[in-house]
Amino acid sequence: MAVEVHIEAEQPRTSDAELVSRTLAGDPSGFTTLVERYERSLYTLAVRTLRDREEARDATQEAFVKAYRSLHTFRPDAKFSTWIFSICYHACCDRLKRSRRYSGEEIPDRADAAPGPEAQAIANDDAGRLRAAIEALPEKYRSVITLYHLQGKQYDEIASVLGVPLGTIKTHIFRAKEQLRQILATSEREP
Amino acid sequence: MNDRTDDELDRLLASLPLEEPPAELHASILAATVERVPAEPIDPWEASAWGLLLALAVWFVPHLSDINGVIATIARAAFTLAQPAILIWLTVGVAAAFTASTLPEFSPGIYLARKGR
Repeated sequence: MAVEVHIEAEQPRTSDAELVSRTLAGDPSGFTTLVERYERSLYTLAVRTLRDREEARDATQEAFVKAYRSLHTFRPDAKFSTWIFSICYHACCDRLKRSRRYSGEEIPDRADAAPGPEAQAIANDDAGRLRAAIEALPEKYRSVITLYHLQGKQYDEIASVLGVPLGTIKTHIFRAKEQLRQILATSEREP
Repeated sequence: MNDRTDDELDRLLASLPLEEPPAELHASILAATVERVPAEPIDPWEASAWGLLLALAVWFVPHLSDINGVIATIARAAFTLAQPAILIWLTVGVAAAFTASTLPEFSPGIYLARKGR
C-alpha cells in the first residue's frame, strides 16, 4: 500500500517593502501582515521603555496608526523595522515627557542596582531575572538594550532608531551590559 | 561580581521571550488603521449650497441698515431671472453640463492623462 507523503515547501516570507507597496496600492492585507509581524516587538520595546503595560499598549497602537498615516513617506530603500521602531520609541518618549510634566517632577531612574521586591518575586528563573534586571536599568540603557535584543546587534540600526551617534550607542550597550551583569550577579547571590 | 561573559549575556538576551501584548491590541490596531471607515466626502451640491448661503450672508451683512435697498435688489434679481429668455438659456446650460458630466469619456482629467502618455 502506497503512502502519500505531502511535503509542503515553505512559503517565502514576503518582504516588508513589498507589504508596504501592497498597502499603498490599496490592499489592506499588507498592513495586517506588518502588524502581525511587528506587534510583539513594538509592544516589548514600549513595555521596557515605559515600564507600564497600559501606557505601552497605547504607545504601540499610536505607533501603528502614525505609521499607517505616513506610510506614503516611507522610503523603499529604508528598513521598515528601523522606521517603525523609531516611531514607537518617539511615541514612548512623548509619553514619558508628558507623565513627567503632569507629575510636576522628574521621575528618577532607579538608583539601586537591584530589582524591586515585586520584580524580585517573579524573577525566579533566568528569563524572569533578566527581565527584572532590564527593568532596573536607567531609561537610556533600557531602550538601547531592548533594541539590541530586538534588532540583533545592529548598532547602526539602533543608532537610527534612537537618533544618537553610533559611538554613543556602543558606549551605552557596553555600560548597559556591565550593569546587567552586576544586577544579575546580585540577584543570583540573594536567596 | 560580574560572572557572566559577554557571549553568555548575549545568549541570555537572545533567548529572552518577547512580551505578550494584550489580546485586544491586534484588533484595536486594525480597527484604527485598515478597517477605519473614511469620513464621508462632502456632496458637491451641499458644498455649493453652503457656499451660496455664505456668499449671500457676506453680501447681506453690510447692507443691514438699508433693508429696503436689499429687498429691492433681491426683487430686481428675481425679476431678471424670471425673464423667459434667461430661463431658457439657464435650462439649456444646466442640461448641457449635466449631460456632459454623465458621459464616461468626457472628462478633462482623462483627456489630459491620455495626452500625456
